[in-house]
Amino acid sequence: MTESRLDKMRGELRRGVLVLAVLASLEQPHYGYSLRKQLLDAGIDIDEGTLYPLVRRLAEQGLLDSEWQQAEGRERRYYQLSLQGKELLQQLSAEWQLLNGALGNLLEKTSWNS
Amino acid sequence: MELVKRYVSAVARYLPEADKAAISRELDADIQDKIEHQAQQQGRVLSTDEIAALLQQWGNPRHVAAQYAPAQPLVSSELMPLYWQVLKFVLAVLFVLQLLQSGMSMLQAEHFKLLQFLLQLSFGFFDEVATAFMVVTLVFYSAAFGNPLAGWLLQQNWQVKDLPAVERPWQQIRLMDIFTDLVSSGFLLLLLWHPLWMSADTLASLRLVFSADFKVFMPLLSLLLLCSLLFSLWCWYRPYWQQTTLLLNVLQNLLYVLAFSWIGFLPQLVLATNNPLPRLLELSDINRVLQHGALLLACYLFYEVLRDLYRIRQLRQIKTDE
Repeated sequence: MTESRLDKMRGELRRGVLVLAVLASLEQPHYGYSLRKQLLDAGIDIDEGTLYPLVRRLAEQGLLDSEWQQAEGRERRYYQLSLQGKELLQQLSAEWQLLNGALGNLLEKTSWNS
Repeated sequence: MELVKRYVSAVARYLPEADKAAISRELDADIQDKIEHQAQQQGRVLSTDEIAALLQQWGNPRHVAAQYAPAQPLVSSELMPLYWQVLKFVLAVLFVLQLLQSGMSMLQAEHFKLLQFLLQLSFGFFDEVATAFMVVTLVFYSAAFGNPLAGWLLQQNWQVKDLPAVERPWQQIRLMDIFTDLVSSGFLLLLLWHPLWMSADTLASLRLVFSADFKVFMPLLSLLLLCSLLFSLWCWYRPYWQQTTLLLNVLQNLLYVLAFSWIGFLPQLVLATNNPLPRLLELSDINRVLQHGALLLACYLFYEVLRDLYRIRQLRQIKTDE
């Protein structure tokens, strides 16, 4: 498989779970850069160009509450899960566990894994 | 920080007016955060070149803006196959109509000039294409706003039981066949009723007119052609041959066989007017060619009748076997 195709498929795979990762990280309030750092520390590297617009879209959908705060002489927009976002996170988490378990079983049976 | 302002302003240029201020404010805050954290890591204030590199890495302003406010496509992806189908169909019909119009102009001219004909055809066609493209695109664009048109176009109320049983590959009617039938019927109707759409000058310059014998038969032939047009439109909506549609096609083609055979044996199909015919062209030759053409067409349509009868038999056999 060529490098570009691998990159494309990896991107598609990650894109699907990105929302879940962001929602899970926002149980505590974060501003853009601190959210990215938290995800990076957890092993999920998302570039700014993808992460910030995604967070904004989730807020527009009512899944996140947001608030501008003054800190260190500058303003920052802090995001946190809304009630609706919490409900969705629970549902998506359950779906992810189910999918992960099923996929784990499938991958265990592959020839290169045995 | 001048560079950051310029960058944010460049991004804002591509943002919708309603979100411009809010997104710019947020983007500016995000960039400032990144600069601050990098400065903390390095223990010094970032240079202009370093800030420029950071913004370069952030991405092209146009792409960044598109991430925040993705452009609404004119035609949704689920409607795109239908959009192409309709567009191709409309453009093909326009091309045939333009061909007819340019051909008529050339026939009236004293001398046939190929380059003039091709230019007239091209310019006339592209002029109509622009309008057709705009109208079709607007119809599909309006369907993107969740109106009933989208539901109809996507056939959202479809039922599995309504899907036709396709047992043989020939049961799928090709779009090209439907188009050919539609254009043929439309062309013949236009030809038969040319006094309705041609200008008085054009009519006066015609060199041939239909004979009285042929005119008697025109209303019946027109009705048949009109039915064919409707039948072709139905086939476009449901492009599958079933026993019923095959039977209708057999009936239609049988009537055409009778009509064209009758036309083929008329003493004269067209008569000359006071306008002289081009040199080397005799009225008797024109009539002979038209009569032979009509008879050949009748033979071909008779073959289609036999073919469709055989297909009906095949479908009945499949049903019996089940």
